[in-house]
Amino acid sequence: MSATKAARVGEDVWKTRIDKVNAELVTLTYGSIVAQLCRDFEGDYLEVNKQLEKMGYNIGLRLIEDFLAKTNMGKCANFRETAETIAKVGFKVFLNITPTVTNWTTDNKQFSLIFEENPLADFVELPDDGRAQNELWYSNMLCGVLRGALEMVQMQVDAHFVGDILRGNEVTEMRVTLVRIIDDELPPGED
Amino acid sequence: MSTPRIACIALISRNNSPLHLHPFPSSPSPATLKYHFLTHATLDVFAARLPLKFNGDSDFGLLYSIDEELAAYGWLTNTGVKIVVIIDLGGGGGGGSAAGLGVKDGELKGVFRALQTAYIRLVCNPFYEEGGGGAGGVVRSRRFVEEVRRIGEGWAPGGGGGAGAGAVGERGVVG
Amino acid sequence: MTIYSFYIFDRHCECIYVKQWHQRDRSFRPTSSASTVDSPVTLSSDQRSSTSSKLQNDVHPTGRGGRLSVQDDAKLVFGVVFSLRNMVRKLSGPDDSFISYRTGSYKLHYYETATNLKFVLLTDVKMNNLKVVLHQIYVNLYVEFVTKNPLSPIEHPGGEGVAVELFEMGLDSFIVNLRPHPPLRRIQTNLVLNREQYRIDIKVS
Repeated sequence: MSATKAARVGEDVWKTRIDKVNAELVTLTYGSIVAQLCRDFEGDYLEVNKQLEKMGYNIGLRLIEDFLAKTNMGKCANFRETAETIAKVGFKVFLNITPTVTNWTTDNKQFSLIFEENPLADFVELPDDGRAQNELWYSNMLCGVLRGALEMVQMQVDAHFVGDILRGNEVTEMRVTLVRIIDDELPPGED
Repeated sequence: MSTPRIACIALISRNNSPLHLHPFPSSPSPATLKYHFLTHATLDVFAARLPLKFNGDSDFGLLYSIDEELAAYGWLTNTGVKIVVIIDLGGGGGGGSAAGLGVKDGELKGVFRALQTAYIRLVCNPFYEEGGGGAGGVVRSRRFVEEVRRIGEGWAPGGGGGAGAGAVGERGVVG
Repeated sequence: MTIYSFYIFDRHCECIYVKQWHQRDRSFRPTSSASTVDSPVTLSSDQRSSTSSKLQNDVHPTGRGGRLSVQDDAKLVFGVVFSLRNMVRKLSGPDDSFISYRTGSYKLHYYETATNLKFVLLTDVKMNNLKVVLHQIYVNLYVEFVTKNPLSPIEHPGGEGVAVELFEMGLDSFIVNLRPHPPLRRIQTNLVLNREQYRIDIKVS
């Protein structure tokens, strides 16, 4: 599927099949989750990152089914197609944004998503404690969502942020790496 | 010094503790203390006029003026946050009545709205805790302080400066 | 036009849901070894049990009355669709998938999602293709009531399976409405028409 077709599918599904919800509700809900985690772990931001990723992973496991049901998409032919689908259909459908896919490695196994806008991070200023700016990946849940969702369609990936405007970086950038294609599981041997 | 300008912007919490006070020009000066006193004095005016406000109007208009030079205008949000803008009428001591009426009624509405929007953005930050962060609950958000400074410096009578802060609540929706 | 049973298998090859409608009277499973001859496809366990000759009703080790337990049924169904699916892929490429197969006495409909969920429906031989129906079950029932239910687990280690009442009720009424009564001929044709429009919305009054 080409990038333009992906964009069209994303637009179409977003317009016709998605229940809309107020953006601030989502932003504030996500914000309270992160802030509460920061309190619960007493400012251990590395642990907060981990927890966010885990929550995202569990979301991803479910979200992929909803995604497939809504978009009625088949399997992607290659990882490039997967990347386009994530950016132009997935993010479009669920967050109404389309991050840019870029910075491919030559083996086509690693790419970056550049987020021009990030509805999760509206209003947010990281705590001014000298550590959050260097340790907390505020939107880390998105990484987990991608990992969980792709795992369900037989792709084990590693996803992590390498830049965040909230931290003062120039762009918000997520790096996604295909680790391996997961083989079909075989049924447990009988007898 | 002929046109009125904003001399000070102050935000006061529901509990009447100072949230933020920004004098213009912003360099710390002895005047800052004076503005603190003046702002503090407005609280009584707010309290006195509150029973007369039935229609939910936030604009308290002119609270009082001093020396025909400084005039304090007030705004009360529904959540009890008070915004005070002190205008330097620029008339000096002997400017007479013309200078004293330099700011028309309602001309500051845009400023108040922009300040309220900035305040909403501030409290929407999940890491913001009212009354937290030490220093007696004074706001430390850099973005908020910067926005207040921009609003204060950008305003000019009749020009409607200070507006244009992105209004919260007008964003699109996400699925 | 009868629907016998329905299965869901997850990506770990675990049977997470079984529903049988014509439980005690399944004509598709031979009750005597004579009828196995009619079936072009013979399940492996039938081979096993047929070695125990005509007396299988009495000597079959796992089932009462010559029938296998529900779990064993599910295992067999999985074995069949798993092998068939892999075979089909080997023959015509990884994107292909079989849709149904038919024996002399029943028809098996199959639909697999990109997440390796496998939906299987067993019906009588006269049934038209039900891939669309299985897709509908996935989209409108499974995703809505099971996946989106935060308390319903995603993985089912130990075979606890799907236990969501809304899903079961939805599935039941969906299947019941799918199955027209024999005398209502006119409604039957409506069913075909509707199916072409990818909508199945049948009232049996």
